[in-house]
Amino acid sequence: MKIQLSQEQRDAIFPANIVLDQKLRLVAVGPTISRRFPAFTPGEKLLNHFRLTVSGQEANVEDVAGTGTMLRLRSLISDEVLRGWAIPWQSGYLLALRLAPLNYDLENSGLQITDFAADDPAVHALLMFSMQRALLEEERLVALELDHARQQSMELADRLSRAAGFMAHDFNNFLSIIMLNSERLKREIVDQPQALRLVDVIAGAAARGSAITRSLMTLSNQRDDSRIPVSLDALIEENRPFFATTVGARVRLDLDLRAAGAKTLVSPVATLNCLLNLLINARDAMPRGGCVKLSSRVEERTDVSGGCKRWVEIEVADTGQGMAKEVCDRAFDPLFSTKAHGTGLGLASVREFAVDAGGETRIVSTEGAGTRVYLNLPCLDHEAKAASGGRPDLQRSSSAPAHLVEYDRADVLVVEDEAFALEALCELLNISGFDVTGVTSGAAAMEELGRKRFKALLTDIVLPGESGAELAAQASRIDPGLKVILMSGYVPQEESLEEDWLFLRKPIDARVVTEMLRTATRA
Amino acid sequence: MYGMIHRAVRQMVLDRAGKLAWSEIEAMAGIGQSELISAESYDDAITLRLIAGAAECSKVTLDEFLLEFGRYWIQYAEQGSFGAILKFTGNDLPTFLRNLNRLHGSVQSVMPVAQMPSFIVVREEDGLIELDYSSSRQGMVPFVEGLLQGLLDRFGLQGHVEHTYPETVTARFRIAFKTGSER
Repeated sequence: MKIQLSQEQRDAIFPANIVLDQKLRLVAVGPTISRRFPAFTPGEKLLNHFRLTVSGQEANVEDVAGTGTMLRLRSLISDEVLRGWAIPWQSGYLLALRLAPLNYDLENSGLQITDFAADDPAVHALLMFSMQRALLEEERLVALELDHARQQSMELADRLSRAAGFMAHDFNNFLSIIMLNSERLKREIVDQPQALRLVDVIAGAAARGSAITRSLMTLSNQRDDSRIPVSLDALIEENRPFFATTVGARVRLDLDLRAAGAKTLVSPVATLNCLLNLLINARDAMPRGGCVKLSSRVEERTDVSGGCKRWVEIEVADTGQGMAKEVCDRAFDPLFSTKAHGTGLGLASVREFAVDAGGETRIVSTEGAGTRVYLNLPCLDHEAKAASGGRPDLQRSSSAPAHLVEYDRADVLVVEDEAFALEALCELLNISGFDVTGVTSGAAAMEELGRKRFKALLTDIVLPGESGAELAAQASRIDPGLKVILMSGYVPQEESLEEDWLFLRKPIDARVVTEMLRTATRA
Repeated sequence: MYGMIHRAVRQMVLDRAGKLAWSEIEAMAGIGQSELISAESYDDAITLRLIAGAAECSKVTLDEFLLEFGRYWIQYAEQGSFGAILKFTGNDLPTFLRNLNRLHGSVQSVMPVAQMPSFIVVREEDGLIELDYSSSRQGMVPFVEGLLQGLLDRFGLQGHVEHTYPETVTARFRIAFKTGSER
């Protein structure tokens, strides 16, 4: 069968066609050849510009013309390849060719869609490849943006954390003043039961404020992600006032803790964050109020690897609207959120926390019937000792004496920049049998230390000018036998504290400080 | 629609009205970073909220905004990750329009849930092209008109775009332009 093609038709079907004479000299070319191989001009020999192969072997046009054998032409000048067939044509040959891209990256290729025939599958491949490449580039930009946003929020969180820390310090100072002066007042009004009850109310409110402050302090300490054995029940109980504040007045918080004694290896800060995320989600699911139940239990079962057999299961159940299945299925997906202004990171971070701790999460939700989120964390088989590596916190570990007793009189230097707190503390320590000298700054303390020998230095950490830690270091150099007790509601990260210094958390409980000083000065 | 459209709207607002305006639109449309992922397909309602917010912020009607956004999209795509694809699709207006469906066909392969429009050149003369546009989406004619104006800009042509509503397609665009020799 003989086919006649006009040049226009030839160029449309094979834009990279080449017409040669019998001596393989160029007669005419299609638009792709003239555009991409401008040096290949009429009269030029084909073999001066291209290497011809068939199945990797050198080949001749004359041998393959009309045989239907696929011919490959590799440019000797540029990195381009053509593929097609040689056909006897008029008194010479027609090479019916198409561009065969060596790679499918359009960037800087100079390729145009008109270099290809309308039905050439290479066009689809090139576009698909480039589209995927463009989307990858877009995703890279998204990732950079997210990373930038994450860094910004981390910096913001860090600033907030520091601000929260310093605010907590001040707040704890005020609570200290209330608590210490409540204690003083009680001694003044021992014969007035009604007034004593009111003082207890004041002291109780200060204690609750102190618990909330402690939760905020834990949360503000974002850098502390060390994992230690934690009793989740104790952690939840300790932060109950904070959780109640978090869910708000319209939502009732019920605790049902049944995992006493079971410990898991987690970061307390991360755990608190995780529980907070779950409670905030529960609260947001109940804009008109409701109930959130936070419960714990120990479960015995094996995981897929046959590993851990005991798990602490935390359940956060709300009485909100619940979720549709398609929303529920994606609830833990990063960046997925149905809330206006939701980041989609809350539940994702809960899952990340659980997985990091070797646990798992699941969510059960029914539209109109609320949502239950389960957090399963592996129990520690043996109750490991807390490898906190942190500072000793005697306020938590020491048990306060039931009543105050007279001790040997010992000289104590108290440094506290809050005048009311200093006054109350000095008076209470005096009553408890200590010889107390109170000053409001590090400089004044150094003067006293130069004048007199003290058994103990009780100093606030955050002081105007020189910090309490710096003061303690200087004082210890002057008198290595001096017992140092630092007190603060907030320990700035940059402070370096010595191993043998004791630490007292504010707000200060009169009985605890007395006991601590007694122990320190006796030793 | 895909997140790449959202990103382009954001960029247009940032270029023309600044960060504060974008923050207001985000708040108005109830969207955030999670709605700006290029390869993610979002409910058209989200896109519409976003565009409505941007129009309100620009103090123009929705159609006026869509027209301007269409024009901006060409510039945005050309300068961004999709530039090479645009260049490949055609280096003159008629070639580009003739190959739009091929471009969209390939996009469809990569983004299977995309609802791609169809563009068919039904008349082509020197300085005049008639283009039939069909889409399952409603209300996008101003956007397409903006795209065509953006293409005139891209190829350095002076011209104007009109449209009619024949029964057989969503809209027919008539693009009249001066060729190089006439300018």
